[in-house]
Amino acid sequence: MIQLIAYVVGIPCAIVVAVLLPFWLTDRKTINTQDLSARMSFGAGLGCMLAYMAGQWGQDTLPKFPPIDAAHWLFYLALPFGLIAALDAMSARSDKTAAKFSFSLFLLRAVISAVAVWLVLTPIRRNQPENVWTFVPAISAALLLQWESWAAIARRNRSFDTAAAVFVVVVGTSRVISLSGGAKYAMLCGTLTAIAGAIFVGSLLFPKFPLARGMSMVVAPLGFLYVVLGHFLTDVPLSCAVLLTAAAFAAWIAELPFVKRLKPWQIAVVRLIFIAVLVGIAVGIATANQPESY
Amino acid sequence: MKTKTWLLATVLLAGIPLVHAADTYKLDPVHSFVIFKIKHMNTSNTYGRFNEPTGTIVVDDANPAGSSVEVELKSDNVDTHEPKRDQHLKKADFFDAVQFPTITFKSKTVEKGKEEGALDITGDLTLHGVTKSIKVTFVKTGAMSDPKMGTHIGYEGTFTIKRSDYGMNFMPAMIGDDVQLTVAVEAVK
Repeated sequence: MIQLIAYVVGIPCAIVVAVLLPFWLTDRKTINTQDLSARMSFGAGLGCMLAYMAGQWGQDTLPKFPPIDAAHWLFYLALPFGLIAALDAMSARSDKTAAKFSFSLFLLRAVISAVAVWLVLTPIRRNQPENVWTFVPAISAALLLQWESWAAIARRNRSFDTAAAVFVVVVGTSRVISLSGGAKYAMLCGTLTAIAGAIFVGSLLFPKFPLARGMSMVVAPLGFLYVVLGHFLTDVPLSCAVLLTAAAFAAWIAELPFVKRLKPWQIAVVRLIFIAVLVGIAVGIATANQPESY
Repeated sequence: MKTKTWLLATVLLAGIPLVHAADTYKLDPVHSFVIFKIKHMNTSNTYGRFNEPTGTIVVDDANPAGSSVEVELKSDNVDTHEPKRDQHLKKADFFDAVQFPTITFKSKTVEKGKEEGALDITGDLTLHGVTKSIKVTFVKTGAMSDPKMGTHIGYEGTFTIKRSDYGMNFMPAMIGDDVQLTVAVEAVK
């Protein structure tokens, strides 16, 4: 049990801290604030990528390449997600670089989304070849939209607000999968929860750094792919999968004019409540559909 | 000349039984059993089985190396006498029947065993998408021939595998790693 807690929570959190520390300690007094922010976002993305990979390796196994298990693809997909986090952090160095990189990043995210969904759904493609051209593009588009949405949310909001939003969504995802008879995936998703939690705490301690920006580029797509796996390979109801996906977009409630007029902490609370309500409904449905214990 | 021809014919006919053709049998799914035993919470043994195994046995009594065995199980056919547990076993935590719908054993080499009628079979067991070589001793449990029902043969063997070797490493504290399998088959020609 202690070993499991170490792999789900302890080691991933320690890796995030260990990776971020040198990024924070090196030359921080000599470089400008924007460069330091970009560097911390880069470090957060890299740290989250390595933390997730270590967590999956410890809980399950070091997946062979090419993987035979759909979930093992997530181990390798953490690498391109980490690459996106790195490029996104580099683009944040100035408005000029951000404009220059934005379309390339979108294209890269689109390609990676399509490939990721194609790979993760390998067993479903094999079993339902007639439906491949319906659900693969639809799920790829949903992943891309969610990824773009988190990137935009992270750019517009304070780091701890974004980290809290990602945290609530991945906690809900893990709980729904657990209630739907997928304890193994729930624990792997628990690693994402621990990473998002660590970044949330880090963001509270260092509010100036966009740690959640790097984290959301890695954790959010992995969380989404767990929803997909949970639906197709365990008993996560479609309604729960849709609600968890929608919860990721619920952060946009903060952009409504009447919400925008509120104080920053009130906006954060409204955003979190809205996300939590959708996640809560998903958990409620999963609880109602929970397989009876034996 | 006639005597020579008769002698030659006699010698050739006498040789016929020595040139054995291997017999091919099909597994009888109703009278074949694949039973597993695994430790639960380090306390008791839980038993289960895979219903309706299918496969082929080729038996060459004169030349055991010419024999072969192929058995296929459906992950969806796991049965532990508790439907809720069976549902869980079929999901991603254990057998993952959507991703890995079949469990197969294919022999690579067959040798004569120490016991009378026993066969030492080395072959590939594919479970949960992982293929590993295992060695099993099968003992002949009997044979029966009937003009109407055909020829029946029975073999039985017991062996142990580690589920973690096949990537089934969920809940190691609750469920044992060693899985004892008993394969008792009846095959018909």
